[in-house]
Amino acid sequence: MSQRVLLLREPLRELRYGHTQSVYPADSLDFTQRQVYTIGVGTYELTGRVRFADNGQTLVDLIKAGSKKTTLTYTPNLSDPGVNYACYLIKPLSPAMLKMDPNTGVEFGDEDVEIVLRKTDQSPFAAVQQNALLFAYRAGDRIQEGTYTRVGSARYALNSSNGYGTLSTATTNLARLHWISSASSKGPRTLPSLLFEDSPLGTRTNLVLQSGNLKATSVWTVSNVTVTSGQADPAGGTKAFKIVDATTSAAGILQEVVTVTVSTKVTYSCFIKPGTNSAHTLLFQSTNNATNFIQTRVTWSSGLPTVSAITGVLVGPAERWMNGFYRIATRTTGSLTTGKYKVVLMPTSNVAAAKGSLIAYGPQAE
Amino acid sequence: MALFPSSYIPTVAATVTRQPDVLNLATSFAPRPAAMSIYVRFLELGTILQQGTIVQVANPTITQVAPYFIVNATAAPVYQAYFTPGGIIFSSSVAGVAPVIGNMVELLATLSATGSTQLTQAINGGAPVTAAAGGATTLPQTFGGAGLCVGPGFLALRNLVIMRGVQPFITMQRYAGVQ
Repeated sequence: MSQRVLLLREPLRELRYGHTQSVYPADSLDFTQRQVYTIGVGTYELTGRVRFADNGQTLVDLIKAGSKKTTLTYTPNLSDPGVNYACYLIKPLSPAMLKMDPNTGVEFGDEDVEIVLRKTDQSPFAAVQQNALLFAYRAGDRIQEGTYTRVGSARYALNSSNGYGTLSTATTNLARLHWISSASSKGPRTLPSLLFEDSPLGTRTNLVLQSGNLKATSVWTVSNVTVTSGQADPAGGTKAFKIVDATTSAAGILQEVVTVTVSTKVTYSCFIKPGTNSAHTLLFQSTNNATNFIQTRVTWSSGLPTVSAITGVLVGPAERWMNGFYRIATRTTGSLTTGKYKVVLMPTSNVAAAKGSLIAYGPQAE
Repeated sequence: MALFPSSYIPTVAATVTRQPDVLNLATSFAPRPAAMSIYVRFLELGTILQQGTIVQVANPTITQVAPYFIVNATAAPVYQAYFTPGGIIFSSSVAGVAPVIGNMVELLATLSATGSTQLTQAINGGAPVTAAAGGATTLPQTFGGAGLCVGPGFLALRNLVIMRGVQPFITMQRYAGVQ
């Protein structure tokens, strides 16, 4: 016969996923140290019960074939024959005896047996529930059965000790498990998610140079402010900068000229936190200061920001990060022509007589 | 065009471009075209503003090969369940109701045995709103490819569940662990 088939009266029941590996743990006598030695990467297995078997001899023949390491093909659902798994039978092996299925009687009735299967390639079993599930993914699950690529690094939020997100870096080809808030972006980040960024309209570029060094005089220009480095930042380091306006004769600013190379709408974002005063301004303007394409006012109360777009469109809620930072984003109302513009950080509410300070990190224009 | 912020891109002496994520969740995913339900829960980060795509069934890359079944955003902008056996589009969308950036979105896209699509949408845990079903067509023998491609879009994916048959919204939520 070309093939033997065991038709299950019911799908495999009590499905349980497992993994087996040679693991040798050792604890020190005081249990303060632990070593683990593993051999290889192990293999995945699937345990299930064959229930209500009324063809006991065929079932025994399957066990006999499996005991000789014959490849068994497990098809969870014959309505979808393309989904099947080449397996070895791990348990039971001959000698073996079926037992009576307790739901059909222990004297006259059907039989059942628990089996353990291992795929011939040792890979995990995908969703094997017969009834309806084709695929399931929950953020944090494995994606090894798929493919993921990204050239270069990218940033995401790690669930830091205080729960508000530590700006972290994922290296090339590393998928980003990004922690988000449930109710709003101002809450603790309690939910894992798989961050995915791929624009059908093209890649994203930060037009602001020296975004990590606001004291770089090659691109950043001060006017009636002083800039101090070494401030706690949203990445858990000290690379944020304090911008201080101590004069009452002019509204102090820190600014950089950027080049827009494509006629498009521009979004300007920055991580900020309050210094000594409660109102700050972010501008994206023409180089002659005549036109504000973005004017964002941020006022603070008890460390919480209220953000308003005097010019431009606010995008998304202010997103909280560790060390009290919020990431604010505003975009231009219309598309800009190509050319030069200014990114401006202002520690006050754009009033000459006002003094104050702003702590900033990572300005971005894209 | 940057209608919204993306993740921070640090720069030094020159501008820096972040390369796109390319994700295929299951390279061998190739169900037969049959009645099925796709449930996806995600944080909206901008897909809706760029006519992006959330998920594509049985496609290995973002380039669709008909027949295919996808969940994507239109120019309106709203999300839609979109099925094409090739040459003709059958879709369903919740007219006039679109998420905004920062919303937690749940979408249920169903494909019936008659080839009709239907979309149900819930925003921030609110009541699901079901759109009118799309037109019917004969289902093909196979989809255009194999795989479960995510994107192109901007989203923080929480759950993706695909089941046989046209399933109720609450059933999909339970499988996803939402209910």
